[in-house]
Amino acid sequence: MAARKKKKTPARKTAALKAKAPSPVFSSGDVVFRLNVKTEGLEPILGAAYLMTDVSYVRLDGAASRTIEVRLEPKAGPEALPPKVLAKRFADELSTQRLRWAIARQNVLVREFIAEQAVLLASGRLEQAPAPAQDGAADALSEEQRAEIEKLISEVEDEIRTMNEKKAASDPKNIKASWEEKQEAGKTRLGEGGA
Amino acid sequence: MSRLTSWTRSDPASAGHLAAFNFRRVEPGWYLLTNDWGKFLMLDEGDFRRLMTGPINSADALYPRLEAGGFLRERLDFKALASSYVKKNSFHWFNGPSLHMIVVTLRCNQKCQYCHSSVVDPSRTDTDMDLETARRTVDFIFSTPNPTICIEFQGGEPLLNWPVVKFITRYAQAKARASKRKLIVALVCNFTLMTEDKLDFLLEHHVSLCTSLDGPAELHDKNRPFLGGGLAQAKVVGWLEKIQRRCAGEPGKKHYLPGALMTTTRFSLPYAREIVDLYVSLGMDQIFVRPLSPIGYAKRVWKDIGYGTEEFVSFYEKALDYILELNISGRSKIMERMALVLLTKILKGEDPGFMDLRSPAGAVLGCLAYNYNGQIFVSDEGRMVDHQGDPMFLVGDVAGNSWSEVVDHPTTKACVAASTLDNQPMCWQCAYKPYCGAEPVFHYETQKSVWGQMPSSAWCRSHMGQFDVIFRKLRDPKARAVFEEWMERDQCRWQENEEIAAGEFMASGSVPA
Amino acid sequence: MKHEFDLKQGSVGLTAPKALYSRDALGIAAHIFAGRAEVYLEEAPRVWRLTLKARRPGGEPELRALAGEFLNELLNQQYRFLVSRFNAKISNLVVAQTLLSARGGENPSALAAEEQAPEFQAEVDKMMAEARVEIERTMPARIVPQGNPLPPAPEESLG
Repeated sequence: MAARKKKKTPARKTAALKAKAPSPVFSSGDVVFRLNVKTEGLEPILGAAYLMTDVSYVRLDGAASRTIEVRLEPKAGPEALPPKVLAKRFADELSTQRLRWAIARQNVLVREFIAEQAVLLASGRLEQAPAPAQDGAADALSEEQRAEIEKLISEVEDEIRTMNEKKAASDPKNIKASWEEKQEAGKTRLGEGGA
Repeated sequence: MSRLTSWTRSDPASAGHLAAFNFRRVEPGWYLLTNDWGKFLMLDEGDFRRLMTGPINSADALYPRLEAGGFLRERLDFKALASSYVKKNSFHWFNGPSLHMIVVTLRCNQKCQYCHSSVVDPSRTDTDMDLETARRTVDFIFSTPNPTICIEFQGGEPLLNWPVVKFITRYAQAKARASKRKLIVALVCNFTLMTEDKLDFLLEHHVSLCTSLDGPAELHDKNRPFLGGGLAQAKVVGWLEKIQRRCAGEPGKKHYLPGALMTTTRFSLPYAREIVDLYVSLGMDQIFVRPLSPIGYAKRVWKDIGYGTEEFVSFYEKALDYILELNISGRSKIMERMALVLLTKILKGEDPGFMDLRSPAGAVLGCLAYNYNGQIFVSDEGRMVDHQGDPMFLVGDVAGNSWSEVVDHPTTKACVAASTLDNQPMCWQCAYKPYCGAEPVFHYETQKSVWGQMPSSAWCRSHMGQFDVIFRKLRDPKARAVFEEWMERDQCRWQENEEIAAGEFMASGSVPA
Repeated sequence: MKHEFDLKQGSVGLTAPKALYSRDALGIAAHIFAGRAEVYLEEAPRVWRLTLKARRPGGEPELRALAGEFLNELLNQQYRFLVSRFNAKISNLVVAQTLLSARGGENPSALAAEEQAPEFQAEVDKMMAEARVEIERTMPARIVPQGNPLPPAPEESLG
């Protein structure tokens, strides 16, 4: 029996989502992380650092293309967080930002498309989506309404048949392709750079 | 964990099957998921972990819930999601502001602890709006394109400039009749200067009435004393009851029952139940548990009357819990206004017309504030910043500017850009993004920038806290049943009000039954 | 990399790498901080050298906090640019849509035909005349303008 081929997940993406927690260095009351931009991603690093600005003063050093040093100086006051707590919070947030940005990059075209569709819909240049059926609604239909619905169903079935024949054309922006597929096809949308 | 909450590293996530969404661990045991189209799901930890760590099989019980909400990448109904987007953001397609707040005077006979309006002594008649400015203001309002206009009188104390209140009401109603536009007129006043003659005029002209009622006498009078001292609450309550009796007794007037708002100060915090009890005893159908904003004069006295955001959220939850208890037990059907606003967005996917919680915010696009001297501001809060000597939010003048000049003003554009949540670095990843808003004037006053800095924003903390409260309550079937009954009742109230709006009433010339 | 404090001058010096922070972000952050500090900028090959001269007197802890808050604001602006660029298509669509809708077209709403009629004008003139009489009869005399109701508020922290 032939072995079933496992679907390849691009190594970089898997590595990015599964990366080991970066280790902090505690220095003069500050918490310092040295982060590899290729592994962690520029956007997640900046995002995690930004989300620490309520509890710490955040200083960044380094280069957007290689290594960024994130220095967290705890803010003084009754709600001051101990450095170890600060470090854990940042590490957790960095991991979460990688996930949030991965989901965002993967779906930005979908969001844009739907926003555009909404504008067209609101201006009357697109048909409304049908309202969801209510319980018992089918029982209240007249013969005429049933015939109309059956006609619509057969039109939709024809359309689906046509769509399947023209599969490439129905998704001109390749929206449904996953991030992995796009990576493999070399069509990945570049993440927006920093400075 | 940041305020957005985190996904722990112990379970490596797989993103490939996931559509666009934001998530939040509202409390231990479950996660909230939402998306740009206003859909939400509450998943227990196990289901959320399964979703995040691998594709969900179509035979899985979770699958249809995810599909229906647009959370599965491979099963997106683009048209349905676009329709949801259009519905929840209906204000995106509106033709300009519907709410016009006219400050007819800065004079006031009270000296409220927190007054945003920076009121002046009753002798300062130079801060009364004159007739010519009043006329130009109404003309400007009717030059804006929205077919529905709501004029709201504010102050100071508007009744101190009563002739101008009357003139604006009559002139606006004449213009509404002539141009066949829908007009609502509302008066926000302290009731202490109300008389029977004034009430006759207001009811005859279908002016909605609203006052401030902060709570029991000892609290209200501490917050809102008369200028020179004296007890005001008894007068407010007296007139509330009198107007209620008049409205109950006159045909067609029941929709003009007066409303009341409370403002929370530090002194209010121990009295959540007592405040609600007062509103219940007065037969009010709603209470709006409002936080105090550190804007304008309130910013100067914040040390004395302000509080932390956590304190307010705790107060809000206590008040809401008590209100729910009253509803569940059948002792009262009183509703909480902010909960109604949030639930309209969450459960109905509709915009309730609350300017501060829109993306972009209602500044200029949904509302305008007109000062006594004809200057136009992005909002009443923007007008208050001007009182402190900073004209940042001044966008025009009724004497010299057109509506298009106001829209094209750089401040308008800055406010619109800054309050569009897709531009906000924290908001765009927040689970409350589809329902929330970032108010540019608040952030300018507290953080020196219309953009603000959300991780340390009091606005953000306060609203996140209130959303957390609402979503926690939604997990409780009894509370949810109460909320759904409120939605139904609120809908009926608006539908009834629709039939007898002032402009239309006068245009038809007939007295409704 | 460490801050340099000049307690006599009431200033703190710091650096920000050009690879991570843009000139635009610096400019906005400096503007936001204008009420709290004078911000001096010097450009070096790899870093921006900044000096913040506090407007209010304070010791090292206050200057440290000032520098920290400035860097936080700088990060706020820089990250905001990144997020805005990422979501540019959607946010530009929303901003354009809402502004155009609000504008309601190039020309203001024209006066209704009924409003242009002499009878309408006569009705309005009558309303104004009645209002003037009521003002004369019931309102206190109008005094000359007294200026802004309140003096500008001093810079205060809400914290």
